[in-house]
This record gives sequence, C-alpha cells and structure tokens, in this order.
Amino acid sequence: MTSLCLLQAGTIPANAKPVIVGVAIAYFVIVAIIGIYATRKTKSAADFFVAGQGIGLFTLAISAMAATLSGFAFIGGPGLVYSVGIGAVFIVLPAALTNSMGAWVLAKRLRLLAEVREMITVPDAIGVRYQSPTAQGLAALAIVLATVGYMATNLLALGLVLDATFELGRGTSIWIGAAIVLAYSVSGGILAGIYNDVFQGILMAAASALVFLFALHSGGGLDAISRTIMQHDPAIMAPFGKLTPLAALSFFFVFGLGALGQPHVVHKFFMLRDPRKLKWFPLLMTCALSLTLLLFVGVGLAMKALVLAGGAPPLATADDATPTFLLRYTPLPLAAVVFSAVAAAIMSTVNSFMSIGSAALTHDLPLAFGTRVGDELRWGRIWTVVLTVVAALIAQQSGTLVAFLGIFGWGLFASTLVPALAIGLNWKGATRAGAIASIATGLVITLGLESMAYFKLFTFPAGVTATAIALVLSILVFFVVSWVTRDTAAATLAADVRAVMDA
Amino acid sequence: MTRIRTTPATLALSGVVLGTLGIGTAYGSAFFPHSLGKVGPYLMAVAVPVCMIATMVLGAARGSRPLGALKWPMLLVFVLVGGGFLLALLLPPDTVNGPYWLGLPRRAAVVLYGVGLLPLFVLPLAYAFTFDALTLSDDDLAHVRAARTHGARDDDARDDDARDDDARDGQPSTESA
Repeated sequence: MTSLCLLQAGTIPANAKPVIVGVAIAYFVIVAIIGIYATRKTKSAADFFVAGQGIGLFTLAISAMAATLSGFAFIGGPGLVYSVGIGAVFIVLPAALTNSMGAWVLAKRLRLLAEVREMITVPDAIGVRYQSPTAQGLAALAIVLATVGYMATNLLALGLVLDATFELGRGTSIWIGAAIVLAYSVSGGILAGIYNDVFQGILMAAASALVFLFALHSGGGLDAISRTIMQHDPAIMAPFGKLTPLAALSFFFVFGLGALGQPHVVHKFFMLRDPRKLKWFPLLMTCALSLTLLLFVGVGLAMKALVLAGGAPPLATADDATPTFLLRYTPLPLAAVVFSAVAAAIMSTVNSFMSIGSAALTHDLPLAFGTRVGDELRWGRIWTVVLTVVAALIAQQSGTLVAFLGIFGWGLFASTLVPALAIGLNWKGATRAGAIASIATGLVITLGLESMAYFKLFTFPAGVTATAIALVLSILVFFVVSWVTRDTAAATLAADVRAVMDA
Repeated sequence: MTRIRTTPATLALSGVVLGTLGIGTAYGSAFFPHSLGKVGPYLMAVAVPVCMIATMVLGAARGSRPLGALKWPMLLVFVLVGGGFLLALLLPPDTVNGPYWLGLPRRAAVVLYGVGLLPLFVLPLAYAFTFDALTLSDDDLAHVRAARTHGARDDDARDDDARDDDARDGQPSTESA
C-alpha cells in the first residue's frame, strides 16, 4: 500500500523547513547508528535473513507492524478517506481480524516448522510442506517479481518525501533514498531492518496517536466533524462512503485474507526466539497497528470537515490532506516527526522486501534447480544490491507504471501464497499438485488480468479487481486439484511436518 | 459408503470453500445487468466473514478435538462482522439530524465500531487466554521437538524419497534443509 502522490516539492513552507530538515537529519543519523550496531552482530546467513532466530515478542510485534504499513497509511490513506469517505476505511478495517487470524493460521505453524527444519524463507516452508522444489521455486519466482514492483513503488514514494524535504530533485532523491536503505540492509541484513523497524514502529505509533488527538481537537470533536460533513457532503459518511458496497467489501476481502500471503510480514514468525511467546502477539500487534492507523481515519475526516466548513482552503489533491493538516493544525516539531515517520514507514517496508527478495534469489531458486550457493551471506548481500538497483531504475519511470507494479505486487503475493501456505499448512489433504497449480494460477491470472487492465484492454465492473479474481481462482484451483489428486496427499507429508500440523 | 466425521477442521474447510464460492459469485454478479448485480453486495456481506472466520477456525482447529471455549469468540466476531455489513446495507440512509452513535452517523458507527473496533478486543484476548490450553502448550512443543529428533534420523531416507518423486515428476531434487 503506497501512495504515489506523496508530499510534492514546495508544499513545505520556508519557515517550517529548518525544523523539518533538522528532525529528518536526526532521524537518519539514528537509523545509521542502528545499522552499524546490527552489522556488527551479523555473522551468518541465518543472521542476515532471519535475525539468527533470536528476537523477542515486542520486537516481533512492532517490526511486523512497521513492515505491514508503508507511507500509504500516512499520506495516501487519509487522502482516500478525504475523497471517498468511510469506504476507504475498509482497507484497514480487517486489521481487527488479520493479526489474530495470522497468529492462528500461520504464526504457530511457521515457528514450529523452524523447530524441526532450517527455515530461512517462506518458500522454504512451502517446499518442506509439499516436499516439492517446484512449488518452492514457483513461490520464490512470485516473490521476486512482486518484490521488484513493490520496492519500486516504495522507493518512488521515499524519493518524493526526500525531495519535498531536501529539494534535490525526484530522480536524485530516489537514488539517495535507495542508498540509505541499502546501506543498512546490505550490511546488517534483516537484523538491521528489525532493529530499525522497532525504532520506526514506535515513532509511527506515537506520532499517529498524537496527530489523531489534534485531528479531533481541530474539528471540535468527532460529533462536530460528523455533523459538518453530513451537512455538506453526506455521502462521505455513508457506510461505504462514495464507493459501491461491492468495492468496499472487496477491499475488506482482499486486504483481510490477502494479509496471510504477505511474505515480508509472515516470514518474521521464523525469527521469534521462543514459540510460546506467541501468546501475546496478536494483542500487542493489534494495539500497535490500531494506534498507528488512527491517523488514517482521523486526518481524512477532520480535513474534510475543515475544508467543508471553510476553516481550510480546498486541497489541490486529496493526498495533500495529511501535509496540509500537519502544517496548519499541529505543532511544527510533531509535523516534522510525522514527515520522518512517513519515511520510516517506507524504509521499513523496503528493507523487508530487500530481505525476502534476496533470500528468494540466493536460497530458494537455486534449491529449486537442485543446487545450493556456497556463501549465502555474500550472495544475499549481492542480490540485495542488484534488486535495489533494478527497483530504483524502475522507480524513475512513469508513476502509472510504478503504481501498476505496486498493485501487481500485492495481488501476486496474495494469490500465490494464501492457498498453498496459509491453507496448506492447516490442511493435510492439500497436495503437491494442488499447491503448484494454485501458485501457477495466481501468477498467470494476476499477471494477465493486471496487464490487460493496465493496457486498457479490458475494464472491470465497479468493485471487481484483478487481485480479487486471482485470489478467488487460486483458492478454488487449490481445492479442486488437491481433491482430484487426494490419493497423493499422505505421501507429500513428512513425519516431522505432520507433527507440526498436529500440534 | 465412507462416512466423513464432522470436526471443526472439516466444517472450517467447507466454510472456506463455500465462502470463496460465494465471493466469486458476488464478483460474477457485477458482470450482469443491474437487477442481478444488486445481489452481489449482500452475498459478499455474508461470504466474506464466512470465508475469513472459517480460515481462522481452520488455523485454530487441532485434529478432531473440539474448538472448546474458542467457538464463542469466533461466533461473536462472525455475528459482528456479518451483521455489521448487512446492517450497513439494510438500514435507511442517515440524516444530518441523526441519530449519532458515539459521534458517528448510525450506519458508519455500525461499520467502524461494530466491524472495526469490537473484534479488536475480542480475538486477541481470546487467543491469549486460550493459548496454553488450546493453541500451544509445553507438551505440544516437546512433541514437535521430539519429531525433530526423529526427523534428523530419517532425513537420509526422506531425501531419497524426494529425489525419487522428483525423478518421477521429471523435476530436480533438493537437498534436505
């Protein structure tokens, strides 16, 4: 989830610049210090890819939250609430379910798999579950394709934030942003990412909660905000906003069930030191996520009420909602922290993608071809650089193309990984053929339909998206093929994996 | 004729399949004329919570054991989410004069508080308070670790099997992780 229309250069007034630039520099210095600390602790491929399987509950929950949210939660999301109203909230509404669902469906199984086998990546889990290098390789291919798209989207967003703050030009800012994340990721790997995620996650949650209070205060309270909007533009406060009911409910489905297929988040479950600590994971993650999402809802509605009541000038674009609100209605230091929090959200997401993308290239794809690279730590670092350079080059292209890749990334993760991973780890009747067929279906349908939509060869009715169709079809294919090949189900289940699924 | 035993897992699997079919049908209805398309949101309002809660039950279910105390929070959340969506579709439009529930027009309040806020408290607490008994106890962990010991002993045999399978499929083999 990333906004492409982030802060535009020139939206920050000259008198606010020194504080915002000062806070941004302080923020990047802290990130660098954390990166150097993590680099000293990174000694092996296991440290680089899964933080040496030694993180605690608090670190897991906050880093998972930080990886889940990107700049979209701070800029694009409030902008969407401003323009379409309550319907946009259906993107974040599933958060009430997804953390607990993820804990029941994936966290325990993935963490226990790491007890019986060496687990570095999500495709590892698929490979072990179905004893299939092909399934592991296909999942890795999907992850690499989606990762490049996602990283390009996030690097463009990071470039726009840096450009707005330092006015270096968009192209240069993209490369500088990529270099900053790369610097700590390539040296400290996921360990640097995890430590930075904790710092960034705390920053995001605290800043968001404070801004929410200012949003309520500026609009005279939630009741006054609602009444003002109802008076001038009641469709905003309708239960599905200005979206069709099908479109809003489709958001809930895609972002709800699709959350189970986001490898940059779920692969963090491998890293937890003690599986029994999962007990409080959903509560902690839900609290952190809910706090951070307050800004998403609050700023969009407050800004709408302020504009409708004439208290603020109409916005040039919906994505100006957060920057305008921060600069007009919050103390400057808080605004500066939120601008840094936007960068923080993007960087933590990019780092996670670097890790899973390079792991897929270093570890999973060679395994799929029956080989294993000699020095996974060194190759992990090399692939991290290659992926980042490719993504940064793509990010220099048109915003429409980059937006397409971002949407494609989310859809590809969801349609290829939800059936084989989330359902397959909980259903012994799932077969190798079912997993391979569903991953292939997700790849082909997502790529085909998203491309057709991008090139305007086909237009979906309101509320129907390529991602949703691909997700539905890949789940159904998974069940149908597994049922047809059900005689082979028992043979694809190793004894230790069976023990994990029985636990 | 073989009789399939009804367990939480088999019920959950049925729910996931039916929910997914319902969601697919709801999307399909959007391609048809307006009158048929109107059914889509109602179908979606029921099918989405069926699919998601069933997935959750599938994760929480352990073999043929009953769900125990977990069935109540699961049921409550299903009612909150499904009921919230249906109420949002069925209630008449709000007016500027209200009523307002905790600062929001009635239908928006049903969605934000009923679907978005209440389950936030129900599910994570249900997970935590049933964790030791129904999710992962020390004994469960010990069993899994024992399987690892066995697994290590059986690794060579498993590698041979995987290579045989891949040879049959015409696919490359991997060494054991």
